[in-house]
Amino acid sequence: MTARDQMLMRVRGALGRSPNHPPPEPPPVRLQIPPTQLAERVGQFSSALTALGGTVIVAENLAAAKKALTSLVNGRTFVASSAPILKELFEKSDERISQAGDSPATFSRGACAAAEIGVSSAEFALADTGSLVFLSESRESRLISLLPPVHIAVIARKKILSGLDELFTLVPQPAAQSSAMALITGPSRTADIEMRLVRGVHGPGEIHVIIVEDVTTSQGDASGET
Amino acid sequence: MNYQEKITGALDDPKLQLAIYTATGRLAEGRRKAVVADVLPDYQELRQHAHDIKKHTLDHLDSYLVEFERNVVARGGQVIWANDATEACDFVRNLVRERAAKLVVKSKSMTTEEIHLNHRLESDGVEVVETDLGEYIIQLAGETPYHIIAPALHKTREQVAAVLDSPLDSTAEELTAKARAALRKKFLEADIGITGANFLVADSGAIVLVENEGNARLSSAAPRIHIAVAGIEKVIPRAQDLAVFLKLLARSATGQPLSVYTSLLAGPRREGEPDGPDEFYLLLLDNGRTRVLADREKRQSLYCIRCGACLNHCPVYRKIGGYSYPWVYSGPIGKILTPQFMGIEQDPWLPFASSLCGACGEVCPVKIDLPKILLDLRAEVVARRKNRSELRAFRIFSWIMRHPRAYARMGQLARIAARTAPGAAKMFGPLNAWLSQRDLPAMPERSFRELWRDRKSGDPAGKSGNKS
Amino acid sequence: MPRVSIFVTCIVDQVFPRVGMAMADVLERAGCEIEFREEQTCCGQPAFNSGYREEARGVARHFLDVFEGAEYIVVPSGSCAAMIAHHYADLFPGHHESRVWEFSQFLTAVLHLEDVDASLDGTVTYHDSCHALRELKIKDAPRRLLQNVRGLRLVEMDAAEECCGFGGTFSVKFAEVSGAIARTKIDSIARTGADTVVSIDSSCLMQIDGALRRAGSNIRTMHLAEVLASR
Repeated sequence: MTARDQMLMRVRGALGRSPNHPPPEPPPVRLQIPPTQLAERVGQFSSALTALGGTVIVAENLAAAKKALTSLVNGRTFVASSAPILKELFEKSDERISQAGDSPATFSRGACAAAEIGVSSAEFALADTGSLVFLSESRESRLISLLPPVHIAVIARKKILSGLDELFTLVPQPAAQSSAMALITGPSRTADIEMRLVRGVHGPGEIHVIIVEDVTTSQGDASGET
Repeated sequence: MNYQEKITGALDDPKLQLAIYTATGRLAEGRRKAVVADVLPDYQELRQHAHDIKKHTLDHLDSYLVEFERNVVARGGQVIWANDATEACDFVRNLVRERAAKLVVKSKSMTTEEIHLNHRLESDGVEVVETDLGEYIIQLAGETPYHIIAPALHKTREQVAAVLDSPLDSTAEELTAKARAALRKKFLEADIGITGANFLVADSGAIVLVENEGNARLSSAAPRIHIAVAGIEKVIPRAQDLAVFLKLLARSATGQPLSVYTSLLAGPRREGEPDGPDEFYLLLLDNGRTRVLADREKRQSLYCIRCGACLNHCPVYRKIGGYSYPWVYSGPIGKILTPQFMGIEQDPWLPFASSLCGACGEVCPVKIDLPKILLDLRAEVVARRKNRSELRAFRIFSWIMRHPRAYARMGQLARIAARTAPGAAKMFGPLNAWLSQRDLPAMPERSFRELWRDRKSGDPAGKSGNKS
Repeated sequence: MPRVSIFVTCIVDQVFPRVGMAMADVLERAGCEIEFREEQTCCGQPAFNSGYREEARGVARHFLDVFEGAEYIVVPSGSCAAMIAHHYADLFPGHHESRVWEFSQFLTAVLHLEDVDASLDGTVTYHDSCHALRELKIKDAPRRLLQNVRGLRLVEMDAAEECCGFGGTFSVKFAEVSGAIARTKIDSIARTGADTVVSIDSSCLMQIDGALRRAGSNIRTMHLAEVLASR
């Protein structure tokens, strides 16, 4: 008997259940989406993330976002993913894009580790907690929002959801889309030393979010969303 | 040291007392602010729902384990079943050997503490690095976690500085930066990353990691191999159930609406994904859980989501601290798990180390009825151990309380004795113990029933007066 | 006029009889007819909490025999009331007890009284005894009653809901821990500046009073009944 057999046998014995006996229906899924307006959600998201020490910039369009991004980067080294929304914000020839880019072949962990800033998109944001949602299916590497000490995320305004309930309603099965979904709520932190709050323990200590209201590109398409 | 010595040691250390009380107080206050009615109006409803989901899942655990395994495999991962600590450690050790791995990074996992994984790997000559800041500190100090979510709660800044080989007046920021730099290298060089798992999601074949630092994400994302170790009881049916559990976990633990990083990881990286581990193993551990599962009344002990709220609210934990408990799990949850895993004969004193205040049950996010289980365990201890003198005492107690005239007479005699020979109290063990900490009340001349009789017969002296 | 059967509890009967008398006074003034069934002794809690279920059951059966036919059983103790109201079901499967009322609960929920025309000068802080708070959900009733006592100023301590550390046999089996918990409690009491700490449970008061006296404090303890009986 394998360990699997032994364990399942003990579990069944403990529960008085026989094999191939399907369980009854679980308690119904509980998802309650509060009715909110988009403008409200943007405000809520900003307050929530700011309270955690992040900063939020609302940019009218991609041009404004590009300006904001350049200003934030301020000459520091960075890596950026090749998410569609970011393609408008960097020169296409910029090699720093591909270094955190869309395939294992081009991804450079070394570049991520050396960069001062990681620039990514975000799949969604959650207004009530000030969280960003990442799915690596959208070609965001896991490490880009983790290794550099500063993280800048660019997101289309309409991707801001009310909270977890709305997220799991829209995406009931995140594992089907990606091997890694991450909810990021503010800068990395610890209170392990005398309960004193310190930011930037392993993950980024600084987090900036650029919300783009109008993601229509210069070509007139709305492909500027992730 | 036996448990009494450990307890006395903790009580006699004023710095430790202050550290424990302040830290747990802060966490408890954080929780209170996060679940109060105007912040989380459906808190009680969420608790009940979480309880119901856990009950359903554990009552049908075999089916959910099979479904979970199927989905992990479908996502390209592997599930390893381990009956006990030895089998679990052996799997990891063999994989380490096969892959010629030299460096392992770990994120915080009470389950790996339970199976003493670090010790086994280190004795094989593998370098194992704890990456959670608190765990890193205590690893360097050669100690074990003090609290389920705050491993270094008992250490002062100076003590941490000494452990990290830094100047004693270093700030928390400086010490953290030093640890961060040292650990950064380890993440990037490690061959294997080992984490625990807060939840195992059956319909997704995924694990959930909840943390604030980022070290669990790094441990699972940077090395080529990721091993997640989890007890079988961590299963929940659906990803959508996370909307309930995630709302409860961080709030109950620290008061945060969500912890900084919540990851849902399903198997190794997929075709086209830029980074992530190439291999994913889920190590499913029994180690005594099936025994707890078999007890229908106490099965709910396995609903625990490891938030630590019960510790933070326990008047006993807040005095005796994590090291006074015999096992890796401390506080009220430790009090109910330890006898069930280790056998009640091992530490029969444990269920009695409680004032039965009920705060633990009140704050448990999954509504484990901890106070009831403590009472049940006490009855079990009594049924097994046959403490002869105590049994005799309670038999006498019961007899007296069923014979009102004898009871009244005994009361009279006790009150006379107390007033005429107050020093005699010291002869009786329990009274002596009482007196070691506080004064005894002054015994009245007459009992209530005597005063009442006078009152009924019209004696005005029988009326109560102001105590002032 | 409601007929109330009082269960004074063994600790009040033998150690704090004035509490029982005070409760009787307040109930009589409120218009109740009081009976004291002399065969009463104890609710059985000490045996139950120590794991001696069989011995507790014997005592509990005696209680139920003594109080057979009583319509309202009023108790000056949250822990004893909770023992009877909740834990007798653990001793007698299927048993349901709905006649038992803790004193402050009875005044506010049954008699609908919040002002019993009491007066007591002083600054008072209230200790939430655990069984009353968590098992019987008693939090506001005693405070409302205290607030209506003329001359009394009620202040809240920061650790009102924290256990006093009594816990029955815990207080002697783990005396050091119990004492340490009590000292934290009395520190919180002292910080309020109150001259009196009030509770609805005599066992808590015994623990707190014992710690206050040992610490040389002038703060006194009073049972809610004694405050409400004051004129």
